[in-house]
Amino acid sequence: MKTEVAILAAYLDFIQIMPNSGRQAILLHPNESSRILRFEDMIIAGKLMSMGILPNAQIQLVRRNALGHTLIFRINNRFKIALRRDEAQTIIVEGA
Amino acid sequence: MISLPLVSKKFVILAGNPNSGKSTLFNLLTGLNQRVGNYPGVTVDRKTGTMQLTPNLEATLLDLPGAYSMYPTSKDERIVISQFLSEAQQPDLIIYVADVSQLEKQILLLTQLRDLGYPLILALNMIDLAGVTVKTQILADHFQIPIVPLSGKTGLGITALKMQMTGMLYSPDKPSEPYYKIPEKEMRLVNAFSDELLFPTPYGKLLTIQHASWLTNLTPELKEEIKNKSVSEGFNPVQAQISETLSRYDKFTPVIRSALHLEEGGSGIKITDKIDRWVMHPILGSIIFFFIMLLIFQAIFAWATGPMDFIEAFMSDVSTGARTILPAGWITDLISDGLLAGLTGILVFIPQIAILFLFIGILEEIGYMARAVSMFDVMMRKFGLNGRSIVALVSGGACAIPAIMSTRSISNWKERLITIMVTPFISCSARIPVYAILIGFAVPKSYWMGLEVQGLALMGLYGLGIMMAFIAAYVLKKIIKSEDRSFLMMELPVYRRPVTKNLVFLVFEKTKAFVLGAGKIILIISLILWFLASFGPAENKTASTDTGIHKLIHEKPELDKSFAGILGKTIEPVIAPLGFDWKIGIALICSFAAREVFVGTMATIYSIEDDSDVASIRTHMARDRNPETGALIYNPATTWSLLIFYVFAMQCMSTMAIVKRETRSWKWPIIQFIMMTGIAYIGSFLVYQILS
Repeated sequence: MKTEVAILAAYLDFIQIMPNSGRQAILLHPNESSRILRFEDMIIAGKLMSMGILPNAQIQLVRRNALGHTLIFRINNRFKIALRRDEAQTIIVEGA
Repeated sequence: MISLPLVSKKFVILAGNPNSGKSTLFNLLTGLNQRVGNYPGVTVDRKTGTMQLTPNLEATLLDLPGAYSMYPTSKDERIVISQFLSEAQQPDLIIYVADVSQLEKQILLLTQLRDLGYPLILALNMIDLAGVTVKTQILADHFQIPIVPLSGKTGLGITALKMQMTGMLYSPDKPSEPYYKIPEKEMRLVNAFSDELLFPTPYGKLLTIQHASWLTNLTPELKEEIKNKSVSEGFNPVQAQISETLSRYDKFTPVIRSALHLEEGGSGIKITDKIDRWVMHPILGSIIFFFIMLLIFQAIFAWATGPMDFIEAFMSDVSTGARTILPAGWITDLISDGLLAGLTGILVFIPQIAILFLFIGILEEIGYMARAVSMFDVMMRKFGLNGRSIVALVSGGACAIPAIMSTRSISNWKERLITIMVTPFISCSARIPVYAILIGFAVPKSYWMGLEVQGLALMGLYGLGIMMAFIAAYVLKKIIKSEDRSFLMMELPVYRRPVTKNLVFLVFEKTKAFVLGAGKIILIISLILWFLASFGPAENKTASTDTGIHKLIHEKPELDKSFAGILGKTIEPVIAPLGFDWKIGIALICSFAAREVFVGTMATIYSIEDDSDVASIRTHMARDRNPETGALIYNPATTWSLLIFYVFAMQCMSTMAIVKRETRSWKWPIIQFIMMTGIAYIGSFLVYQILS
């Protein structure tokens, strides 16, 4: 039991530390929800955060438009935002 | 003895995120006491208004552009930050407006303003929305600022806000502790410049250091010093911004969650999703967009004609009236043919401008414009434009001047420049009267599949302008080099019913801007034209003993012998291959100042040719024949050629002036002029040669 908890804790740490864990938000399926782990571009991160999009926020892909070049996301079930593909690529969400 | 109480004047700023309902509240508070000006050095609208709070307390309100945080990403947002960081004109009070249903993401800027040390009131807007309950006391205790729940739409809570404002202005109350504790490293930097930077609070000093490179109130030496010190201290501005933002969110998010209860899918979210399923559909959405545009232009064509005819008939009556009252002579001519004709040329545009801005206003207010921007972003980027360019291009349908001004929200310089360069290709309202007068000569009034053929021809001309705008944009994209980053990151707000008051103000403001801005030029040109057309060189009148203007007044020359006729005839060889005669030549010369002058020129030309001036310009033009061949001047070939010329040519002095101001050099307006007029000449030449 004790070892299991330790392994779980180690795993959680691994997810937190490991820079390659998670996936780009563009890989979400329509209507699929996830949680934001981190941002890979500092400047975009600054902009997104001032608009209320923060690490740990719930993120849901609403739809892909313009052959996948524009993505509409719903954040925290409260508001929608349109992002370009290359902007959304810098958002890393939970899940493999 | 009666002593008058002293009226004290205070300065209040309205701040908030985009889509917070700030402007609605501004309109509600100030009513008609509004003034629109410019920020020094830039042309973003600076809206101020006054309100009387008590008999001896008057407040001047400033409606700032919406911003998300004190870290700007566009020029528009920089204005907001500059306003707060400048020592000049510090506000006595800030009313921070936030949409209660989006409170969690709209509070960041509030906490930043709080740390700048300004007295604040938090106005919780849209409190009348269904599915929202808020415990204001929790928020008031946490932020230590007064909170007023209100609705800008219904006016609920406005009295409470005014009372709170009065109280705060009489005895300003500021929170004692800053909201965000600046970390050690940043604090060292702040302390290093604590004497040089005048801003009172440490956070204000920190922001000044962050934005030193573009702030205008710092000396170059100080900027250099700040830059060097930041580097040596290992200060990373983006990292600092992110950790500050995170720490602020960490502090207020749990508080807001405990104070606010939002019903799942409430406050319009469900309906918005339903509408978006159609409106944002990749194919259906584009069809809907096109349909809306078609509807707008049909509406302009259908609804504006009545009021325009009325204005023309009315002004014609005034002109006739003036002639009967006033004694015959050059002053009467000046008033009737110069001044009143020019005035008609201005007033006649009001219906079109008002209708177009009403529609743009509705699309903006309900939240559709943001959808259009996001939908067209990819397509626009292929042409070197930005999704936001769609707003400028659509507004260009009314007038290129406000459209070019609207490009300020495009933060990428190259995309913004291209938008500015190609927007005048979009047929503006000033071309409508030219099109409307000429289309009748090019296409007979008939129907095709139940649609007016003339209306279809008009649409075709619009389409041509739009097409050329994109071709030019694509070419410019290949030529202009830039390394700036461009962003979309567009919030799609919940659909809302438009607020009538906002629409009324928008329409009023835009019409006023046109009448006062472009109107002046039109009037001056009309007067110059009247002079050019009424007077000519006095070579063969040497017998007269009169001197100067008196001599000319009594012997009004034939139009072809007037200054205008001479000028038109001089350029005739150049424009003859396009099928234009000297009268059109006069109109073209005058149109280079502003297209709308074409109609005025025609009015002046024909009302001077025969003095009746009651029949419409159109009948005069239709009757006009070549004196030698007897052929109609406005035959289809010439008319189409002229129409094409008006679609493409840069014929607006005001637009060029705006482009110069926006690009900060004469280089771009000159390139634009050569490009557009060159294309117009080639286009007209080809059309005339093919059709004739």
